[in-house]
Amino acid sequence: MTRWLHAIEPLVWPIFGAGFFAVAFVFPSFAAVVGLCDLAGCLPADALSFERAIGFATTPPGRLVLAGAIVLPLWNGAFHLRHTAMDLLGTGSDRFVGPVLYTVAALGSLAAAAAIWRL
Amino acid sequence: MELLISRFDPSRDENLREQPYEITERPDWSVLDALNHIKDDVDPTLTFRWSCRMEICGSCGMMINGEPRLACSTFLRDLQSPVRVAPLAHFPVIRDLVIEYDGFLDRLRTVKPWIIRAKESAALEGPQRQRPEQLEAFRQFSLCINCMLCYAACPVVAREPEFLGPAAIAIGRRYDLDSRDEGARMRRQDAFLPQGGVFSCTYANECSVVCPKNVDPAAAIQQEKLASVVEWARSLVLSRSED
Amino acid sequence: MVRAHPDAMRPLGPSRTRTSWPLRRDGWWWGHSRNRSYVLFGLASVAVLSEALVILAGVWSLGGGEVAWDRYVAVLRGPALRAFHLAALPVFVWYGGRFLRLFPKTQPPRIEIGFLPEAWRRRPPLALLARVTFAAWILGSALVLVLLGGWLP
Repeated sequence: MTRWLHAIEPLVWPIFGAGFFAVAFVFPSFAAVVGLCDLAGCLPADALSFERAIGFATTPPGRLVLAGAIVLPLWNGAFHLRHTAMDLLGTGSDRFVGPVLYTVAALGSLAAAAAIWRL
Repeated sequence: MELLISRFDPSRDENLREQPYEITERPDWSVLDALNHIKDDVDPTLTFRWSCRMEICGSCGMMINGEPRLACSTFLRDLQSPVRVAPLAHFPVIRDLVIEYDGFLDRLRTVKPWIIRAKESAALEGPQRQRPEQLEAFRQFSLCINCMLCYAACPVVAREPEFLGPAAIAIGRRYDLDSRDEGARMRRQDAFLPQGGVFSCTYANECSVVCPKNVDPAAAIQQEKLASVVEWARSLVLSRSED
Repeated sequence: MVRAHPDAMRPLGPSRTRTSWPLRRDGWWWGHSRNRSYVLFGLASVAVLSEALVILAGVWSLGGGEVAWDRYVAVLRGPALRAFHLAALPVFVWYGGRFLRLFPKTQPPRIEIGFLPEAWRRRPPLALLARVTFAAWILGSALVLVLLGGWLP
C-alpha cells in the first residue's frame, strides 16, 4: 500500500503545493467573513443569502473557484497531515494513516465534483 | 568550564555514556581547541575527527548543546558551562565522537555526483564553455563541504533509513543545474523519484538553518521535486506513446 | 538524546566495527522553537482539512435548495463553527504566510528555454520575489474578502 502511496507522490505533491495558494488566498477571508465579520455584524444583510450564494456558485468561474477551494486544500491537508504523522509516530504509521487520509481526500474531491455538478 | 563529552568504546560499552571534563579555557578557544587540549593534556583516549580548523574541511561536525555544529567554528565564549558535546545525531557511532559516514557516501554515490555527457568528447575537441550566469545558477549548491550537519538536523533522516538526505540531493541538484551536464534525467529516474528520494523531504528547513556554508539544501530539494514531477509526467506520456 | 531509527544512515556494506544505535535529540519536536513551529505547521493541516469539508458541506447544501442552505448558515453561525472560524483565522494567515515566505527559494534559479531572452530565463532576486508574493497575497485576499462579504456586488 505504501508503494502505491509513493507511486502517486509526484502527482499529489504539486496539488499539495497549489493547495497552499488556495488556502492562503481564500481561507483567511472565508474564516473572517463567516466568523469575525458576521459576529461583529458588519456584513451586509444579504451577504450569506441563498440568492447571492447560488448566483455565484452557478457561474462557470464560481464553480471553478469552489472546486479549487475544496479539492486543493483537501489534498494539501491530507498530504501534510500524513507527513506530520510520520514525523511524530514514525514512518511505519504510514501503513494506515496515509491510505485513510488519501481516501478522505479522494472521496471529498468526488463529493465536491458531484456537489458542484448538481448546482 | 565543564564539558560533558559523550564517550563510547565499542569493545567495552553497551551504550554511549557522558564523561565530565573540567578545563581552564583560553578566551579565544573553540570547542575543537578544548577537545585538543583534553586529548593532549587530560585524556588521550578521547577520539574525534578534525583537520583544517577553519570551517572548510567538514571533519569536525558534532552535536554541541544539542545543535549540529562544526567544533572549529563554535567558540566557548558563546557557550555556558556545562557544554554538552555528542557525536553527530542520526549516524551510527564508531567511537566517542567519531561517526560512521559510509552511509552518507553510499547516498552520495546514488546521485552520480559528476558531469555526465550523452557522448564523451575528447579533450582535444576543446573546452566545454559555460557563461558566468550559467555558473551562477548552480554555484550556491556547489559550496557543500560534506560536513553532514544537515543529516543530523533532518527529522526525516532520523526516521526513514532510505532517505537520500539533504546534502546528496543538493549535490545532485548542483549537477542537474550545470549546463555542461546531460545526466539530469538519469539522476531523477534512478535517485530522486524512487522511494527515499526527494519526495520524502517534508521541508522542515532544518538542513538549511544548520548549514555552515549557506548551501540551502532545502531550496535545492524543493526545486528538485518540481523537476522530478516534470520528469515523471514526461515519462508517463512517453511510455504511453512508446506502447 | 533518544534513539533515532536503528538503521538511520546505515551504510550499504558491513561496518568495520561495532557501532552504537544512532541518536536524535531528546524531545526533538518540542524542545526547539523552530521544530515546534514545523510540527504546529503540520498539525494546522487539520484545520485546513476541516475548513475544506465545511466549504464542501456548504456547496452540498446549496444544491439542496434554500431550506438546506439556510440550515447550513444557521450551523455556520452556531457556537461550534463560530469558535472554529475565530480560532482558524490566525491559523490560516500563519499557515499561508509561512508557505509564501518559504516559496521564493523553491523556484528554479534558471530555466533554459531557448526562445526566452536571457533576463527572462533567470529567477528574479529573492527579495523582490518575496515582496511581490506578499503583495499579491494581501491584494488577493482583500479582493476575496470584499467579494465574499458582499461589500462589492
